[in-house]
Amino acid sequence: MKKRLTGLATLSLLLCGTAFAQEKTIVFIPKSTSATFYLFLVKGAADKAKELGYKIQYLGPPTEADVAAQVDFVRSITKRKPAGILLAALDSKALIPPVEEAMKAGVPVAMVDSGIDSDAPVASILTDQVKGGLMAGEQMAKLLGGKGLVADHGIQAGSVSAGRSKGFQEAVAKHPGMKALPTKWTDADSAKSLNISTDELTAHPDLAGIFNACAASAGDAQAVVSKGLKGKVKIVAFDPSPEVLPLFDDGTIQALIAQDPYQMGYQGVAAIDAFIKKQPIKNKNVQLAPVLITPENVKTPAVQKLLQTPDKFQN
Amino acid sequence: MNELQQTRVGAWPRAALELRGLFRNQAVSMLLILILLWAVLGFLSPYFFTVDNLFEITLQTAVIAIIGAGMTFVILSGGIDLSVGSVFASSAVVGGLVFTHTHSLGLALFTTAGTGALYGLANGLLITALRVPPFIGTLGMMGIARGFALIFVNGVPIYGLERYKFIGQGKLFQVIPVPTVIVLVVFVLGYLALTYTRFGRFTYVIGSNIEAARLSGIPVQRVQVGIYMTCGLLTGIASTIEAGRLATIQPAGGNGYELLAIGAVIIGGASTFGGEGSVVATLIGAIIVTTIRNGLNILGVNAFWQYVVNGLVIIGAVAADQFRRRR
Repeated sequence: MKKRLTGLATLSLLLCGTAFAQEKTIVFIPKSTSATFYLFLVKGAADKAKELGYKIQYLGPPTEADVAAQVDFVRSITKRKPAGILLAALDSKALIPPVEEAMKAGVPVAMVDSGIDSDAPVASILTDQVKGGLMAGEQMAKLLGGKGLVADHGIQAGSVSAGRSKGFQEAVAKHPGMKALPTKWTDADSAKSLNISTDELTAHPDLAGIFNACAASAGDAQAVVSKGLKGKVKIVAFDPSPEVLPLFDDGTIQALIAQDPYQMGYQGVAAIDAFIKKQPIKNKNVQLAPVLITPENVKTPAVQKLLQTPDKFQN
Repeated sequence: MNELQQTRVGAWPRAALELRGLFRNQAVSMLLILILLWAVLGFLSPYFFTVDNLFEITLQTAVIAIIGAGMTFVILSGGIDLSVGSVFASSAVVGGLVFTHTHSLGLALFTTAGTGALYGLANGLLITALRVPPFIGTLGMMGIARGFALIFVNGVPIYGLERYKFIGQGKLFQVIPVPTVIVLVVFVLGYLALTYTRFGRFTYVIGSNIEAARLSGIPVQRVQVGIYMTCGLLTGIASTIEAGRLATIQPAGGNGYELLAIGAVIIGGASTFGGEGSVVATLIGAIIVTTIRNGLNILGVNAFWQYVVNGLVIIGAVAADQFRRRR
């Protein structure tokens, strides 16, 4: 189904491909267009693009469940010969061939958010996924005093973002008093994480914490609230997205791991521009450190800058 | 005295006959499979057979069951509706936008259901006026409705729907979840409509033999449009429940729900060729699907094995039913 949907989107893409000035357009392909996270990346990219005289186009598959659809997307966009492509890879291996083909065809690709296992891209501006997961696991251990049973809700098995769950499981394993349930995968879908959390809370009345690798934590939060366990079952999750922030503010979610999508977009466009102008790129592999947000540090300006409030992406 | 004895003697074989008829009934045999499933899961986990968890199953079933009720009408008439997952997201988004602008919950819910019905109307017209086969017409609508869901909100989820929560998380008399009540109302109405109204009977007739229906003067096209509108309307209603459960509306939500809804109808035993099936069986089919997922989660079965078990149980349930029919 998803493939058909994306097929339709790709077709319409090709049809309107001739309608814009391609040499001045950089296309940003996210993992999916349904995560608010990428709108902040678009904003960073658009701000830098404005400085340098490019336009940003934001196109991608509708869900994170379909790697093949993203591969097709990159291929069909390469055929349109845009000035460059910013890409958040769904899979670190499957996206290698289309990226290498694009580079060969003279379309520079910069990886943002999630990279690929190849030196082909002009630059990679990424979040250290495993480290973010480790930080989440450590914070969970701190919240629970180093003991208790915790749930782990990843995005998709085998994907780049699965590194977050890997990191979380590693951190939990360091604490002998803690035990993590096997990772459950939500496809970043809040409705799925709601059902999974509810079932796990039923099966394990002693469940003390839930980790979610993305903003689908909104679903976990509703499960915890409707079981009357708000504040008792701790939630630590990736991404301070607009739908998640109210749940952090009211204490349902105890900690968030923030990435810096704005910088990814900003630096990604800068790297593509440098490549086109044949300028040297100083640092090909940038790892932006994830930041832990807690009620204690949320008021600081450095953290406020990372909160994904809607005013930051509305131009 | 004599009379009374005679009725009692006569009543025995009749009761036995009725019992046999009952076992032939799809809904009843599926109910037995469901009870068996519950017994096994209850035996395997102490947490399964609790009032709380059984209500939780009805809660998790609600969305698919209600879409499935609409899908039952469509499949009974020999059609299919692949657009429900996208229509689900699209109508929720339109209603959510109305809510954020007017703060009127009533208006928002009405718009959500209405948008669903309008998509159904469009499907119905595609199929009757343009003569596009249902599979193709609703496949096209699946893309269109998803596109609009994303376009209307620029891909950003709608949040701050605290007042929606009553529909998804509220409890009547502190016990019965509101979605469960909505499911009951929808299915009672659906059952009455299919069994006692002309619209319902026409639906079966069209599914059994569309030419015969036409020749006997049934307004086939009008009924078909009505069927797809019913499906769209119920999809819209289902989407308000999910919005209430999550307190957000996701434009990418509802992905794959068409397959879950069609699955519920087929597991319930409806014929994919139309004309045979019932809305009650669909409800049981939907509960079976949810029970499997809920049960496997509670047993802590590995996420990857869940897909396998899910597939096996579905095939097993339908195969068992086929066996029963042959006898």
